Amino acid sequence: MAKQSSNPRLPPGPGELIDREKPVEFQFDGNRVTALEGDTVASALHASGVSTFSRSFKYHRPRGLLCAAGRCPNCLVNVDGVPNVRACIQPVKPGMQVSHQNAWPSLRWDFLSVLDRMGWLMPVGFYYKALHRPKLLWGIAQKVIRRVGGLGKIDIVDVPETAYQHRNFHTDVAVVGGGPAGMAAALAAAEQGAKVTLIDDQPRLGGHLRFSPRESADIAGFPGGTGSQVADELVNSVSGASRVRVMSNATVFGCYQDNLLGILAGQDVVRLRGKRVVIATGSYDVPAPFKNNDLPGVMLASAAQRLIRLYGLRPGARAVVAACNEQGYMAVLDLLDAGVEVAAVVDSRPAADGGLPEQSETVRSVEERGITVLASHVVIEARGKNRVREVVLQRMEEGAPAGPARRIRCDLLCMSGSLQQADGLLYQAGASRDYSQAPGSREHWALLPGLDAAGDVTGPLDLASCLMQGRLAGLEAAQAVGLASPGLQADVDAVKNRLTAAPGVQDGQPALSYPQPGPVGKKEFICFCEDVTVKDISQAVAEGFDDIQLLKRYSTATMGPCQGKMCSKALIELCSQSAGRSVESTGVTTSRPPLQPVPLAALAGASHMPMKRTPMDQVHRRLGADMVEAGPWQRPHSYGSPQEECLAVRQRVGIIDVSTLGKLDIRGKDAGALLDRVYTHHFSNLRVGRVRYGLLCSDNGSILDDGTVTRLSEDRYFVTTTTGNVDLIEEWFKWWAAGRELCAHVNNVTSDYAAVNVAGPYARQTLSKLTGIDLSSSAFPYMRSAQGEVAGVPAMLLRIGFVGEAGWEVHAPGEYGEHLWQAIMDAGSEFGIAPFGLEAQRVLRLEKKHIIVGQDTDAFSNPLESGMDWVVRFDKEDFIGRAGLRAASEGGMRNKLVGFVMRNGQVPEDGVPVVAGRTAIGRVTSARRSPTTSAGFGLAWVPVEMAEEGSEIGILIDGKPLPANVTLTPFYDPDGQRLRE
Amino acid sequence: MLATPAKKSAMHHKQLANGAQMVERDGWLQACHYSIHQSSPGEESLLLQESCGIFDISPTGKLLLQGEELGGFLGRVLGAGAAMQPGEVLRVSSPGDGLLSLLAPDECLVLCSSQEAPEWLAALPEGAASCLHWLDRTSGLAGVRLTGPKAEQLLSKLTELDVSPESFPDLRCAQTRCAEIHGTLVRADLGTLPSYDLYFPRDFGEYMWDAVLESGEELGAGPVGLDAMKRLQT
Repeated sequence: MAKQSSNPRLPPGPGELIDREKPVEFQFDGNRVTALEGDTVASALHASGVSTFSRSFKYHRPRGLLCAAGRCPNCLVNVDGVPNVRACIQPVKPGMQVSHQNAWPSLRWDFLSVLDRMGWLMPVGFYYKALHRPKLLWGIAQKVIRRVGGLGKIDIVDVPETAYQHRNFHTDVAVVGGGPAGMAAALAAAEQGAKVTLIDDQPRLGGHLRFSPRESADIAGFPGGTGSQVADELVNSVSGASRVRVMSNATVFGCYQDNLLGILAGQDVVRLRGKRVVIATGSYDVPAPFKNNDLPGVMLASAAQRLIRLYGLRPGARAVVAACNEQGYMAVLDLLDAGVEVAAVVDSRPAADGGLPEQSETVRSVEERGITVLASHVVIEARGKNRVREVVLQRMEEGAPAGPARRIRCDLLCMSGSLQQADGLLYQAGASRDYSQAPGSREHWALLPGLDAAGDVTGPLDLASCLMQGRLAGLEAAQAVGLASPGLQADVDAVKNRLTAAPGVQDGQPALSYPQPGPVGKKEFICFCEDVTVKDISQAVAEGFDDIQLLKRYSTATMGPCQGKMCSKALIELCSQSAGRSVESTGVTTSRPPLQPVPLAALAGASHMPMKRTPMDQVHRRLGADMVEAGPWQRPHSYGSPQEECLAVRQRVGIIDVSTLGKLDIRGKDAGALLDRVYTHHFSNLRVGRVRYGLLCSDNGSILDDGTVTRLSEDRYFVTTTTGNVDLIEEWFKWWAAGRELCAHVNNVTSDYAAVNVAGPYARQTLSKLTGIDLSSSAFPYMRSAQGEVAGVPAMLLRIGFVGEAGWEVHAPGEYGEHLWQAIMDAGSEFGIAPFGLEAQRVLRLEKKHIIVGQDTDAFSNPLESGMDWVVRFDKEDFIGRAGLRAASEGGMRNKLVGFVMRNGQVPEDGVPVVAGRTAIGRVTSARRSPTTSAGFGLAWVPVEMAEEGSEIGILIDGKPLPANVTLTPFYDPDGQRLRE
Repeated sequence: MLATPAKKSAMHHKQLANGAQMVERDGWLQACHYSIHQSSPGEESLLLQESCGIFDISPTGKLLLQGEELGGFLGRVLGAGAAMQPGEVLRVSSPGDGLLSLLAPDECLVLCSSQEAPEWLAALPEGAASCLHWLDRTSGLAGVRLTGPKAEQLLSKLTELDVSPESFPDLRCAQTRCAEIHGTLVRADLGTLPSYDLYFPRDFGEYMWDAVLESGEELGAGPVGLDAMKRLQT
């Protein structure tokens, strides 16, 4: 690692965040670092002499502290296994393990830094233009690019422990930004009685006041003083306001519909919904474009001030400051107070009276302290290997650098002058700039209802106007949420008048001059995240990518971890300059969440993955069932041997948990009419106690779902659906009931019942031991239902036969599930009862050619082609899908779902093609080996001309077409005798 | 024929794993207390007073009334001049003790003890010609009660609904997504303690029990049994 020589810690000062009495030790790349409590990882590393924090994404150039505020990508490190942590806002903790990323073998000696000399091989968008032919090359190139490009690595083996929690907060007024405008807004809204949440991404409220030495006089309602003093006064007021909840160290990463803010606060992801949102995120300085503007030691002036005032650190020994506004000169004074030698101030503005660019008190103070102020000069280059050693200046002539270059030795170059509004959240919330209104006024932003902006985010303002704008936003927010004290309107009017009379807008900034592309190795960076240079942007525009959105995608500028915070302004300006358009007509790139990097683990939150369990779940586990996920359910796949389970059902008696079946209760005088409308069959004429198979189709006649319909009383039906479709069908039924204004109430009662299917030759004997209901075929024939007691609990019995044996579905209240199962198992033990799982059920139903919707059908399958024309009744009134089915019927069938038996005993996999020669003409939907005949058999879609009994088809198994014969009748009990016995 | 067995809540096995001591009450196996609170028998009462107790209310009778004629029926139950708005909850004593939670203009959830349920059912007119229907959802809906000063905090980790006292005061109800699934939330405070009843499909019972307990861990919340709840109510 590159190190500075001297200890840069300054004597204690007011407002610093560190506790000098509390040392904290952590490791950086295996070396022990001693920090102070309150330090960030970056400030601690700076204190210990580290100047290079990371290597850049593409060229592997050394990068040092740039913003020190969590906005840029320069200090991304790995902390305790978590990559891409911003060191400048990560507080130090004892024992934390910090390591560099994207450099090998070390941060100082990075093998891939050779790429910096190979930029000519990687022009803008090179991966769109090169490496694509031959095709093989791109596959290799992708892997190399992914390996070389650097944004840390996730350790998928040793996953770090995180415990992110999600919380939901609600507030009357949410204020984003804890600077003067934000605090003023919060206080104003709270004093009117509003519940306020103030969110700030820094450890202590105050915003730029925390590192601003500027003195201010008293402002109406607010005390004056230095920045830190004003901040402290405001913070005291906020602390005393019981209605204000403060969230510090909290980053708002997204502003979503209906004023929902996504906030990352440590290990918490907070979803905050405010009736009103005030964005007071301020502004920040951004880098200037000159050669090697990314060298360690080149930093924003505000970063240097943060190091001095918040962490008591001297940012360098000898500095050059590039300044063109009051703030830059303030930074000069701070540097001088911190004992930094300031070699020169470079100001691009022309000299005014007295040879200075500006006759402000601050500028004069700088000159009085003997500092050379070079007006009409710009920095054109920073030089040095791993840290800036000197800067090169040039005089501005007619708006461009010209004349002889001048070199000044230094180890710190501070940049100030180009301000960027922190407007990402405003854009996310649907706001747009109104360029007809001056920056610095609230009217500069066209805002959607419920949203407001205040402070420097509207444009550069003096402190008084910042506070007034904040106060006005707070008062109006209180009004908007329905709070209006007697004097509120007068107060609002007074603040508005004050702002109109003295807008307090600071002078505009001089336009930056973007240099001509430099020689190899000397790059002027626009986007620090993606290593995009001025040359790249100019070239992309020359290639025709002059639309700002296309330019962004082509160059990848603004698409890195900082999401354009450091570069979007420069990108827009350079794009407009290169394309010869105004900034207004150039537009902006779209701001999308997340505004700041958010770990996926944080978005995922606690591991609450909804999982359904049947009432008999624990019983299955005790029996050693192999549980599988079936949609949201946990179900037994088998209890050991699916083959044995099949035989038990065919020869003795089996029991399966079918609680997962979708179940709907339909009641009301129009219940029958509703079912007639949605099913292809009649149901209003179904007699009480009868059960009928039903098929649901979509508008075009394709199969939507199937199940049974049981009429329980004149106005009540019990409907079953497939396990995974019940929610869809519930909505479908409710939609049609509401649309036709039917008295038919649909309730999803899936969870109300524990259900088992008891089937097999001894099913009747088994159940007869548990119920007084006559189960004989004459009293309880196939497709009938009855209600009574089974095993001492109320139950509903349906005689149906999905698996092809005489059997009953028994539905009982869920709380009796375990009891019901155990009672049936005990009753059936003398007959050799066995539980069977999903796999056995699939085989047994396949032997009967009973389809599973979704497995044997798809979005194009209709009942006619699926061999279920018997369930479609064209002779009844209109039903959903009738027109589609009529058209299909008249147009003739193209394919048909048929059974097949393999000739040579193979078992194809589900989904393999049915072939004619080498051409796929159909597909297998389900196939298994028959437990009784050992033959491979299944269902397949084939062209209708091949759907003849005994037709030979080819099925592709292991790449070879193997012969099979079509069969149109069920493989097992084709006449259904066993079902009816 | 077999004797009627005791009913088991969907969270029964999770509660056993938490050390529940089960007793049979009103036909249900219910936890009277949990052995994870080992310090003293009053620990669960303290939990209710200082943090948040999590109590299984699955045995509560849950009758869903639906239909266009619901308003007329409620008018008869409540008496002349009384009316309810969706989202309101009313304590009533006739035809049985219970809470009427009006979920929508034509949908009302009646919550009552399992002993009171038959009285309610007897009072509910229903016929093929009437558009007023009832459905007993006692089996289909499991429930947990969150009681205590930190109940709101716990709930705010699970639902986006604003459950603050200002927006969701005593005797309010709402249908909402809670821990990623659909649920019905009823606030019915117990004395001075805020108390929220959450009803959700039985199939999610174990999932919800885990989600609530995990979310409540940092707040010191934990399961409480019948004994502590009874002490609270007396």
